[in-house]
Amino acid sequence: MTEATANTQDVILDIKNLKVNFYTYEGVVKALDGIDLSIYKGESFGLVGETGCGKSVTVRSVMRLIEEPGKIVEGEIFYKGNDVLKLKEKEIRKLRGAKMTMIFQDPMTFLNPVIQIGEQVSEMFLIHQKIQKDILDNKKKLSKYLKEKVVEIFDLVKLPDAAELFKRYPHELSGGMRQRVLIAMSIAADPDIIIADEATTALDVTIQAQILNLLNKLKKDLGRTLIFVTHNLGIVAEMCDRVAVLYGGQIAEVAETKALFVDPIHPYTQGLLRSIPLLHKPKDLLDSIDGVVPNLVNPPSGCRFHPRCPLKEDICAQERPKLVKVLPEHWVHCHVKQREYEGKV
Amino acid sequence: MSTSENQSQSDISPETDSDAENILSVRNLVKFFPITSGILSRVVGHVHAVDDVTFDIPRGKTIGVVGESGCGKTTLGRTILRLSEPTSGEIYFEGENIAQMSLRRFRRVRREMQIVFQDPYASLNPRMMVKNILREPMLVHKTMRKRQINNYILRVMREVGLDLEHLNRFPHEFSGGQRQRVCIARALVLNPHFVVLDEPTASVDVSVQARVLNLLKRLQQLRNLTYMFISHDLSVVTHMSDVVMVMYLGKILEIGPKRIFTLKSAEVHPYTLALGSALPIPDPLYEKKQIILRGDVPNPANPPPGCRFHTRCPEARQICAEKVPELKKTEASHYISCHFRE
Repeated sequence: MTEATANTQDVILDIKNLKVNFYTYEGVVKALDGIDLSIYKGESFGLVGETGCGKSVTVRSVMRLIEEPGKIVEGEIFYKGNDVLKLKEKEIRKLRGAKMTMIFQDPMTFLNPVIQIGEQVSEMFLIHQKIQKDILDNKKKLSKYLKEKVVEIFDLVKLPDAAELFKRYPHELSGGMRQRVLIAMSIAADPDIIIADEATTALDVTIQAQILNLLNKLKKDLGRTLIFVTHNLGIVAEMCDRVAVLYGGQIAEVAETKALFVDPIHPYTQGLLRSIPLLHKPKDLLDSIDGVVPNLVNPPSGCRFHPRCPLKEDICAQERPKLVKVLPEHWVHCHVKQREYEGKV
Repeated sequence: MSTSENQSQSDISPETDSDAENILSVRNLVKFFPITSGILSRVVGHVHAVDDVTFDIPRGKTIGVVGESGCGKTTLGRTILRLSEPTSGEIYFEGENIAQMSLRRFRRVRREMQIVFQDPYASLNPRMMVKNILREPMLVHKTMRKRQINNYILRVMREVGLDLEHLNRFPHEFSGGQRQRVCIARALVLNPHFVVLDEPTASVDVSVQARVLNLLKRLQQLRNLTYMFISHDLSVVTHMSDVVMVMYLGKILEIGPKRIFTLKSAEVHPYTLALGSALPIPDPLYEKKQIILRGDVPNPANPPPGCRFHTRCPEARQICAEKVPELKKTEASHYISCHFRE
């Protein structure tokens, strides 16, 4: 927590008014409706929300991985002062995988099933790292060099028997080991930003704990910026310095983790936190949020949460609230709460 | 709320505290799946999905079954309902051994026991309207005259929170939460006494999950149902259950009160402790001890000898690899299968 506040000035990723649409048969899905986010260097940042809230679309936009029928229609994403969205495809490929990497939910889909693990990881070094010319020209030397590098990185992600693993195929590994291979690939090129998109969702709790532990250690040792995309509030509470809660393609609230969990301000965050069963604080019935997640082809006007909001006023349907700082390091996207907290910053 | 909490914690009786009536008693239940290979489909081994399991479920209570993937929790639920036939062992449902009963006779029993599956979309016929989905079980089992069926369906629909207008819709027209309500309604139309809930909220979001869980609790009170709640989500199981059963590689490692995941280390099985500590808690103020288990769950086709958990257990000693520990009572209604917990 203190780390994050110390780094306040150092913004590594700045997202401004990001809008993404998906053009489908049913109509235009307005997946992101003006996302504003600043992510600080060296922090671990969480993006949480329910299905369809736009958390994955946000990070995929950062990596420029939005594909047809999706399109980034507006906004800017600054990475180290450059707008990622204005880069040419050739230039973005130098960032992707080298400066920003992503770990996905299902490692099996992202590993090639017919290529040995070692070879797939070697590729990361071949593509993203400068290798001395004399090594590059000598096949024997090159394969020895790559193997050394791969074994080194396998050790870093705590994969056992690294040398023997080199020749294995993805299907021979367990889910947890595959995820470690993916993490190895993502840190191979020494990136600034590592994005974990539901990286542990498919794993069992004890394996998830191993992977989270590893990511935490890597973050501390390597000092990288970590972005967690997840629907699991527990992971956010344990792993992140700061959090953004998304709802229907809009940011509801951004705060330091402790503040968000202890004193949530946005009515959606409050509802969400009350609706999860807690292991250590049992209660008989859970609170829930009325209604359903909106269809983003025809999203509600104004604040997209207003049809389900217990504090709803007329203005909520008419005008979209801004994301306003109501407390130090605490931003809220809500007319009612902003009025309540006015002048407290 | 707190009174019912205390009550449920004090008088739970998972096993043979004879004054409580057990709706279901499972004795030495085994379910092996053969592994075949070659063109002759020779049996080369067995997956030990459920391996010598014994427990009781008291009437009107919820028993939660937790464990990681491959621990046999789903197979256990399905075997109890004889959706897959048990390899050996006995299942007493309301006093009758249903494990060896002829299928013809078993059909009568089956309407007393129902199941709600994990994926509501896969378990509803996409070409059937909701009214037909709900009507079918009653027509099959002939529990009611045809004239009465429609009225009764409406009553059940109201109970699970669906509207009249939903009757003529197809499954794809519903949201995930509503679809799960249809599945719950379908399980209830036969007036069962016992319902297996197999990860009923694994495919819905948290705000929807809260409503489904609340609905299940309300229905339990209304109809005096007994639940077997299967899930890998420890906090959901803790929230729903009176008794929690922890499984690992086909064996029961522990049966205990719902708060076992927050008990002290000497009071619970080492695996239960590790599970509780591995779960990320959505509360930054909550402090817990972190135990990171080594390695993966072993292959259930070739489970380790002795205690199934010894390969990953931080407290394992020589005896653990040699001798299978028994499920022993450590205190009232608390059973642990470990050599070092008495």
